[in-house]
Amino acid sequence: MSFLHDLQFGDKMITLMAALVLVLQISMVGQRWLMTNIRIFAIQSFLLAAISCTIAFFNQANHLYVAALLTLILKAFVLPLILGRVVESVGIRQEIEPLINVPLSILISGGLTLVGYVVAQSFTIQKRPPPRRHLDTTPSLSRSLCS
Amino acid sequence: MIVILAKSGLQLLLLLLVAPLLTGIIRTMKARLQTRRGPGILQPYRDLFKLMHKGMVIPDTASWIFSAAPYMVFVTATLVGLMIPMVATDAPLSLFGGVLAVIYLLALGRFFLALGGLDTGSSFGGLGSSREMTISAIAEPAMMLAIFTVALSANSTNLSEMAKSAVSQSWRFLAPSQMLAFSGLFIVLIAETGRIPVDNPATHLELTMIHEAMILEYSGPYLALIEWGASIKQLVLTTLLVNTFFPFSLSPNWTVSGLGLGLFFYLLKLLLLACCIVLVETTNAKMRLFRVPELLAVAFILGALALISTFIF
Repeated sequence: MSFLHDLQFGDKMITLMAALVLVLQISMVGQRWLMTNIRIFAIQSFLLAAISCTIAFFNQANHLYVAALLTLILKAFVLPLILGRVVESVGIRQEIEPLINVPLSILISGGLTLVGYVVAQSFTIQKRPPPRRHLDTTPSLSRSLCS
Repeated sequence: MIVILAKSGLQLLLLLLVAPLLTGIIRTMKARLQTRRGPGILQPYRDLFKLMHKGMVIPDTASWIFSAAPYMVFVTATLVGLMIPMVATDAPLSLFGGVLAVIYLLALGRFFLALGGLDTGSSFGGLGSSREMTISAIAEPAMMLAIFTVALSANSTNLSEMAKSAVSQSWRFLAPSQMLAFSGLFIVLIAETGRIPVDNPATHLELTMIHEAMILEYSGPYLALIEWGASIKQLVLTTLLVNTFFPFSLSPNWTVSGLGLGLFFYLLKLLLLACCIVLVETTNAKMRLFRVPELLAVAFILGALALISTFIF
């Protein structure tokens, strides 16, 4: 298994997972069910843990495994459970009515993703050789604006 | 000339035979997931056979468009099927046109289907046509953006060239732009084939029906042509999705052994994608009609982001 030690392959896996996070994020903005949102959040957290696992594996940074484990336990299992209980107790089973309508918020999150691309590019130009570029800043930005 | 004819004949045979099979497989898997027995994989063939041997009822108010629409739907879907690589990398009619021809031939078929729905003047047909056009007005640009993403990285809008360049570049499918484009095109596939979050293919009795409302007036052989055309269109779109994003198993030439292996892996890929479609269909509820543009807006933004990502990554 030669590609397991290939840094380029690791980079590609990381960008792929980051792109998957982005896809999930846009689908989260695009639909209105509260429980589905929580489930997508759990999947995203799982991917985030997978990303830090990949970084730890390919760069031999063992301390990142701890971060991955914490993310996995707290963000992918505990937090969605607690949020699910809260939704249960509040009794909102229906769709939520967002403040900004859905097509507009999707457009906004698309625009913010572009801003994220541009910002991330200025990081990668500063330090060469060109390292991996993360898309992670963008989902959090668009989430904070659209939720 | 003869070579092109032979290739076209082979692919045509595959297209016509596999299309109802894919519909049957999706229906059966869906039934099994819902713990029903389902009608069996071969039921679409039996339906087509039965419809072909039935008489037709044509409304008095119908004009020539009503009769032309089924043929247009069937012929455009089949032509598109011959222009995309199914088993081998060069499609039989790839010289005839690239991605744009594919998209606009599909649009031509849809246009005539909508006209056919409007032609008899029944209120349901008009409803269906107007809805179909509303949805395709957003689905079409999303589809274009997603396919252009692949075309950009292959430097060609010819589908055979795209497949060839993708075979030669290993690991390209791991690029984020491909991932985004794939997700966008998958949503478009769901919308264009009238599957569950957008339309329900299993009912004629819902007020929110789209495809079924347009073809409500058709019967007999015309209905068979439309149904067959619809399943060919579904096969074409799934093939487009499977072969432009995961083209590894495509045979580089038209030899028997290459085609056999290519066919095996092609059917395997189709089966996997059918599993995904079935999963989406059974885990989602049908959307309200006015929510559908929101879903397609997601597809459009995914396509746009994919196109922009190709310039950045």
